[in-house]
Amino acid sequence: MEKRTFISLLVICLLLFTFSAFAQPEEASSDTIAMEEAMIDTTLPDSLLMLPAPEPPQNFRAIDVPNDDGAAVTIQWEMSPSEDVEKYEIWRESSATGKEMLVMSVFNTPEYQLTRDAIFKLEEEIPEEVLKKMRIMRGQLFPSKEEFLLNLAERIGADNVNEYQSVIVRYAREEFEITDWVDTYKLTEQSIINLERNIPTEVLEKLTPFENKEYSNNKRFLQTIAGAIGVEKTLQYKSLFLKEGFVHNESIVYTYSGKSITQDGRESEWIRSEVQPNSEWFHTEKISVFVAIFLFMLGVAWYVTHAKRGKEYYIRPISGINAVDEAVGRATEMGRPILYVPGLSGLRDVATIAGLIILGDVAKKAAEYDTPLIVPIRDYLVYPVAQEIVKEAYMSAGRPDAYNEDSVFFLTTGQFAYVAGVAGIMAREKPATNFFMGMFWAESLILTEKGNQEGSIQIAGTDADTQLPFFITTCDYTLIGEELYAASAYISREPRLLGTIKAQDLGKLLIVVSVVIGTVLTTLDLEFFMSWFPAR
Amino acid sequence: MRRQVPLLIVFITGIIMTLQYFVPSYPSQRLYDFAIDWLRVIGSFAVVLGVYSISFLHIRKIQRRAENWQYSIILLLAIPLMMFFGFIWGTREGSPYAFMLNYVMIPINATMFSLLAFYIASAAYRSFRARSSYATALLIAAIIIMLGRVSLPLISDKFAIPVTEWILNVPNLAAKRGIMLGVGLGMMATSMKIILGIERSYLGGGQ
Repeated sequence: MEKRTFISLLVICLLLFTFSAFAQPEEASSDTIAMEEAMIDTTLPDSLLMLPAPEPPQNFRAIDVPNDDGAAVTIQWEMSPSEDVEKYEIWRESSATGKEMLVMSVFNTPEYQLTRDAIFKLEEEIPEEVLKKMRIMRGQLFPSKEEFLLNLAERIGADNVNEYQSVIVRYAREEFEITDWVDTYKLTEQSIINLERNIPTEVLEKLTPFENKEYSNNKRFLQTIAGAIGVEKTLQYKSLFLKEGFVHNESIVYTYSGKSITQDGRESEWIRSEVQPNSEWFHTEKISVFVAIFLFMLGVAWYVTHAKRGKEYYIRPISGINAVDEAVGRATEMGRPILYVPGLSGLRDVATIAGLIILGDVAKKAAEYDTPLIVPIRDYLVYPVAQEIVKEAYMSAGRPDAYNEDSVFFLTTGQFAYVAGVAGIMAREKPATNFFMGMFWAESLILTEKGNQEGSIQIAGTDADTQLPFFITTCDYTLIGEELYAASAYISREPRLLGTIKAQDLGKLLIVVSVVIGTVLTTLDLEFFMSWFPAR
Repeated sequence: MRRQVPLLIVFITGIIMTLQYFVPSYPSQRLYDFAIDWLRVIGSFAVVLGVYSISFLHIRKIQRRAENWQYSIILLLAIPLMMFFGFIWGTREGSPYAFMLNYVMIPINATMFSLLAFYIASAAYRSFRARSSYATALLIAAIIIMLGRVSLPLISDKFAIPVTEWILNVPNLAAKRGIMLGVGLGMMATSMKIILGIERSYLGGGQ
């Protein structure tokens, strides 16, 4: 079959598949669903009108998310003090349309976490060894308060003793009947004794008023304990309200309204908050990155300019790169091919590009020595680039006749399928030299061990810190991290490329100086320097 | 022109996408989404090149009657077969495509992955021999960490676990961070070299 016909057939199949994917029925928009839900009858029976309305959510506020495209708002509130709240409803009104619609209905199952602020509050009162255990919980989210406090209790060594005591009579319509057994919780003397071992007196004193008090509701019991020891219980939700195709307009003001709703349908009063979301033209939290890049570019410009004027820069020897010539020569002497694996990632990964740049140098040497080269590729986009690099390398070496278009080929996209393929190539072709340059994951050890079994000399280079130990233990030479990126400059010895390596060294020096300054200032409790580098 | 036009395209798009990272506004996000969509489209059509490459490699192998050419027939049959399954019955659960994926591909992948256990053992055996002071230090650290990761009473709880945590969280993490700092700078330098046209070998070797 001709190449053109084959490619045409494949393109037609792809187009058919693409069109069939677009011909899916439209799903109902979430707006329509929201409006339909809002029209459900929620009239309460007369008996429930006698019960008091629940408290609304506390400190309800809608805040524009900073440093974004103006399409996100954070809606924040604290739980209603009422015990029987089942859910919260958040409604939104737009100043552009004047229509109000239900945005979301959130069940009262807050997530609890030990926040940094809560730990700061606790730090004044709880000893370091207990706090250390609690810090491990920082940032973890727990789906229920019970689980959160059980985890906390486990960490600080408290017993989670519950005592089941009595039954609660509940109103059901107009009759009194026993509807359910309800556990009653109390902080018993035994559990206080257990807590005493790990929590200082002043904190325990906060719990003492609750000793032997009975709570019919597990939630209420744990809520009280949490409140007593000062844990924050804030709910935060983010709302992305602009949909694809919606005209972005920053003059619109949105009014968010929230209310609490109990299981039997009683509603609280509305709490409202207005917000006008804005987009920013510069991400203020990235200013330190911007300054760092600017300084780095200045360094690059400085060193490249001086390199062009003839200044020579010393680069420390990198044994892995020095061994490339020796490795290619070994393959030539043994009459066996060279296997080059440019990583398993795509062109989006800078390590792949670094690997392809080194491929050009290795291919040129292979062309000069007339050594066969095998380059299996995993990514579709890398394949034509690698093919072009190898072809040009053979041209520049003056050996266009020696170029074999089958030397660079696409293998498969599957990670372990690719490894199986390369292992098979090693077993059949028995290359004398293996190069592994680029990004690798779990398959790296399989590749290198197979190469070891076949007796190949192996040179690897990657920036994946998780795979470096495997390469170091199984390969003859390893380029660690930045050495992979420096390899092209090292091999070519071009002044401009060497200048960028010196700029990298300058960057490292600046980072080390910043770390030392930051450490000293933070030790002296001066945190202004650290605030210039916000953690994201 | 053959080299100038690609270099100009790389320069302009590189500068634009670098600036886009710092601009969170709506037009900037739209530009980013547009670029990602184009990347997906081009990547999808690059599938054609990949499939062509592997298909004709094996067709030539069959024509030449190279060693193990019979396996090439299996591959050339498998590619259109899976495409046929996917187009006709889709990829949902219960379809032939899903069957091949769940009962052929995934077990084969798991088999290859399981080889790692044996290769780790053989690599560890070779590298933990105490031939030098560094190798001895590596051996001792490896023994402590292995003990720290198993549930041996007394030894693990009292000694191995705390020391393991210290080794992993202090010297190991320090070295890892050092490597990552260098990697970050290297990535920035390589990207800058490509954007500014200092590094041109990715265009096709030579100068």
